[in-house]
Amino acid sequence: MRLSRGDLHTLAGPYALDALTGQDRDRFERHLGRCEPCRQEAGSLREAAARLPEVTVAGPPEGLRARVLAAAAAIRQAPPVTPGMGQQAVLARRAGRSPVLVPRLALAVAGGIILVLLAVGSLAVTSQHRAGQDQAHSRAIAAVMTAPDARMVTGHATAGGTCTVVMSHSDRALVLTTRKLPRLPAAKGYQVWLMGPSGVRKAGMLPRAHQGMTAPMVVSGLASRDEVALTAEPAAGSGHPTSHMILVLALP
Amino acid sequence: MGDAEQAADPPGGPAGQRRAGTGDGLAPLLTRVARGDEGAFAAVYDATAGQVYGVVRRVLRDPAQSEEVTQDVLLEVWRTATRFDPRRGSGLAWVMTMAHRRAVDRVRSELAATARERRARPEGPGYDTVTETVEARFEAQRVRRCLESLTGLQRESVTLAYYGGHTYREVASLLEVPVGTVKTRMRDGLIRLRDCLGVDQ
Ligand SMILES: [Zn+2]
Repeated sequence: MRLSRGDLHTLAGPYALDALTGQDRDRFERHLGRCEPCRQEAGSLREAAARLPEVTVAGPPEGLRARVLAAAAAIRQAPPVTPGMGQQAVLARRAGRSPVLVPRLALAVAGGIILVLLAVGSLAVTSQHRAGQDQAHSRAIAAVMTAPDARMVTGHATAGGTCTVVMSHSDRALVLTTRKLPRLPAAKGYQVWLMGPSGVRKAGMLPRAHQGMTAPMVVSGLASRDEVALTAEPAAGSGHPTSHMILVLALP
Repeated sequence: MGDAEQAADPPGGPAGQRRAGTGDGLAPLLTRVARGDEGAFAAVYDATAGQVYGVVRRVLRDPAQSEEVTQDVLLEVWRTATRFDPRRGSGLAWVMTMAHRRAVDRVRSELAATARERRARPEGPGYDTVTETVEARFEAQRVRRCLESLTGLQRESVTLAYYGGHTYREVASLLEVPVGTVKTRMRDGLIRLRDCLGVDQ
């Protein structure tokens, strides 16, 4: 059904209630750009509609707050569209990155970031680190996540569970999380390896899982044609893999 | 249907005092969030998460999906606070618009379509809500009283669209009234609500 020009002026009410379908909404938003009275009215009706959630307030699930705050710490903010307050700070924060690619990429990987980080209640376990270390860790994660060439890949381990990697060739680094890997006895741990044409390199021990998930781990020193592998090793780690690989993940 | 009915006088009175952390109180916090202030973001979370989660769950019904959307919305608040412009509306309207739109988009997406078929006809705001503070209860009561000051058709049009996630065409067919009537009742209903709550910007 096509809306006539005259009809458009009557849509501020449905618009403020999000009661327009996609096509009508797009047309009306273009109209708002040209019609000051409708823009005024839509704005003031939005203010009224924004009070409707007062009536349906409900306590969010336990743990959501910690997950959201932890994830935010690792998500780069978008640059402002128009000059305004906060711009200087934002420009400083994105120094060293292409100003065009950053927001587009942040959007593109947002789903991935959220999957990876929110899979990870344990990111909130800040007591494990001193605050400074924790911030550096968050920054390292954010750098990979928002790199212009960031890619995400997930693999299934032979013994069950999954491993998700977000990697950037330009940063020569990756962020790795796992879900539901089999539990190991306390004396053992999972060790991460990078396997390239020149051999196998140690990449560190996976942190202990919380509720089946491990906090994001940053691995740097990535080379081209590297693959990621996981083995179960003594908790202190091994110099080279001593058990069969439960996962080998080819990187894009 | 009750188009000519008279509404009671608006009970809420003119602009009452706004709850700290909502309405304009959010704007300075969002400005700090735009500078990367994580403490301010925690305060924004505390001031809005109950409303965001509550309305998303009302629209989507499914608690797991609602948690996911709430999370997405709040992270989007963090990410795009740099684009919040207080001259164009309150912080509360900015956050709630994002939340409600996401919920509605999700409920209308194909994935949710099947689940929605099974859903009973959505009702109004309901009274089973968890309100956490005396102030929150007061605000909720004020909004409820103002909703009651709308005509029946205004109120049904507004609540079916907002809490039910229906388009105005769907609302028209649910209420068996012409589409043009629903459009104006939504507008008139929101105007009355706005004047009753005293939230004009
Ligand atoms: Zn217009």
